[in-house]
Amino acid sequence: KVKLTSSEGTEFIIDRKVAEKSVLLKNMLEDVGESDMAIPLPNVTGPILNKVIDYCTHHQDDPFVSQEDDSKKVSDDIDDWDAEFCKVDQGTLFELILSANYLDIKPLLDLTCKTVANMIKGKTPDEIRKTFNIINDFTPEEEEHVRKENEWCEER
Amino acid sequence: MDLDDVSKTHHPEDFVQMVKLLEFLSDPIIYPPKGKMQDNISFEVFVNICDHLPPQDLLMLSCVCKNFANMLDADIFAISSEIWKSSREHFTVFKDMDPPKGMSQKRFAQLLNFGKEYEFQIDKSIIDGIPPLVPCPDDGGKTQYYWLPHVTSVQRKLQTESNSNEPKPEVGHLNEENIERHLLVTQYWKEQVVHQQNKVQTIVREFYEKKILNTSDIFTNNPVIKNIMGKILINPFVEQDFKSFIEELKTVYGHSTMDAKSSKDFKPNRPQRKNSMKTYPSDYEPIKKEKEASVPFSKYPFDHGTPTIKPMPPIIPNGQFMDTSGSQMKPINPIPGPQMNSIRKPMQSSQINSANAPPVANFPMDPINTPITNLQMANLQMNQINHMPLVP
Repeated sequence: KVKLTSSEGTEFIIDRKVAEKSVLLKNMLEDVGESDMAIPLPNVTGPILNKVIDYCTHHQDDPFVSQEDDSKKVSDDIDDWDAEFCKVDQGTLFELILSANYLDIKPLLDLTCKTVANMIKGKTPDEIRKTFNIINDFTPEEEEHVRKENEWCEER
Repeated sequence: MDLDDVSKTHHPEDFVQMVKLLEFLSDPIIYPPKGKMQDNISFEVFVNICDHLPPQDLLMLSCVCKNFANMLDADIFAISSEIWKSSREHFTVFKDMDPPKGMSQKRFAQLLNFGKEYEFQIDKSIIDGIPPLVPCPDDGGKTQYYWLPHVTSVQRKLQTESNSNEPKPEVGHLNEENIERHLLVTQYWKEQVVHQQNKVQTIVREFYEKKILNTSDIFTNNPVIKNIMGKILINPFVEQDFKSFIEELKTVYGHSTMDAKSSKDFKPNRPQRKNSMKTYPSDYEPIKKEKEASVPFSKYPFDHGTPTIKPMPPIIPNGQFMDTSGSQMKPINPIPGPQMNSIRKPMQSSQINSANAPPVANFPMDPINTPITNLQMANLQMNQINHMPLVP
C-alpha cells in the first residue's frame, strides 16, 4: 500500500500496483523504497487526484505501453469507460492533462489529449478560440498572413 | 527536481528530504491558471494533442493564436516538423514518403490535402489499387519515392500561376526543385512504360507461337473488336502486379492446350531482353484456385479507353519537356482522376453487340468475360507486333 497526499493534505491510500501506473511514483518508490510516510503531491488537488486514482485503478492490469509503441495506437478509438471518464468540464480536463503530465501517466495523458483533439477537429480557428476561450492575439495584418499561409483553412 | 539526482538509498531521511523539496518546488495545478490558456499549455502537451489531429485541423490550429502558430512553425521549433510528419502518416494515405528536398513537412502535408486548388480528389481505393509512387534515385545513391500526381499537380499550379500576372511568392521557391524532380519522374515513368511494353509483347508472342490463339482470325477480322482493342491503354504500373497478371493468364488458359512441358520447350525465336524473361514461369501447375479464375479482369490496371476520353496530355502540355514515349504505346493517364471510374469498367459483351458486331456468343465466355477479355487483349498485342517494329 502507498499513501499519497494531495495539495490540500487529503490522504489517499492505494495499492502499490495502482500507484506504479505513474512513472513518477514508480521511480520514487523504487528510489526510496516503501515508507509509511505519505508521498505528498502538492501539484495535484484532491478531486483531480481522486479521478487519477480512479483511472489508474480501472487500468491497473493494462500492459505498460512504452513511448515507441503508443505512437501506433494514436487512431484507436476511445472505449466506453474512458469516454465516460472524460465527460468532465474543461477545467477538470486540463487539470487532468497537466496532472497526468506531471505524474507521467502516459495512457491518461494520451486519453485526455485525444479528448481535447476531438474538441478541436473540424472547427474553424474562430470556433476553436470560442471553445477554449483563447484570445486572438494576432493583429489584423498578421491574421491575414497566417490565413494565407494556411490556405487549407478557407476551403472547408 | 530531477529524480535521477536522487541517489538510490533506502533511508527515511532521504525520503523526508525529497518530500520537502517536492513541496518547495511545486504549486498546485489549478485551471484556469493565472495567465491565458494559450500561454500555459506546455509544448509537450501541445504536441500530444496535435498527434491526434489530421493536417487540416493542424492548419486551423495554426490560425488560432500566436503561441499555437509558433509551436507549429518548424522555423521556430524544428521539432514541430515531426508534428506535421506524424499527422500526415497517421491521417493521410501518404505514408513512408519524404517531401521533396527543400519543402517543409508542413507544406507537404498541406499539398497532399488536395482541396479545390488541385482540381482532383484522391480516393483511397485508387491509391491502393495503383501504386502511385515513382522511384527516383536521389543524390547519394539513395532512392526516394515520389508521388506522381503530386508532382504533376505542382506543375499544373506553376503553369496557371505563370499565366496570371501575379505569381504567388511561395510558388517561386517551389519552382526549380519541382521542375527538376518532375523531369526525373517523367523519365522514369517512360522507362517503366517501355519496359512494361516489352514484357507484354513477350508474353503475347509466347501465346502466339504456341498456337493457343487458334481463333485469332475471328478477332482480327472483326472490325468492332479491332476498334475496341485499338483503344486499350496499357498502364505501366501493371508491372507492379505482373506476377499475378501472369497467374491470371495461366488460370484462364489452364484448361486449354497449354501445359508445363510446352512452356519448358518453348524457345523464343526473336531477340528478347533478358529481364523480360525473368517473370516468365518456367514451370507451373494448372489452376488450383477457382477464385483466381473469377477475378474480374478489370482488377488489373488495364485501361479500356473510350473515344470520349481525350488522351492524356503529355505530362507537361506546353512542350517544355517533350513526350517521347514509344511509338506503339498509347498515351497513359497518370492521374487517377474521376474519369477513371468510367473507363475502368470491365468490357461487357453487350457493348460489343450493341455496335452491330457479328455474334460472339460462340466464344468461351464466363459471366464476367474474363477469358475473352484476355484473348482480345492478347490478340491485339499480337497484331501490334505483326504490324509494328519491335522496341529494341
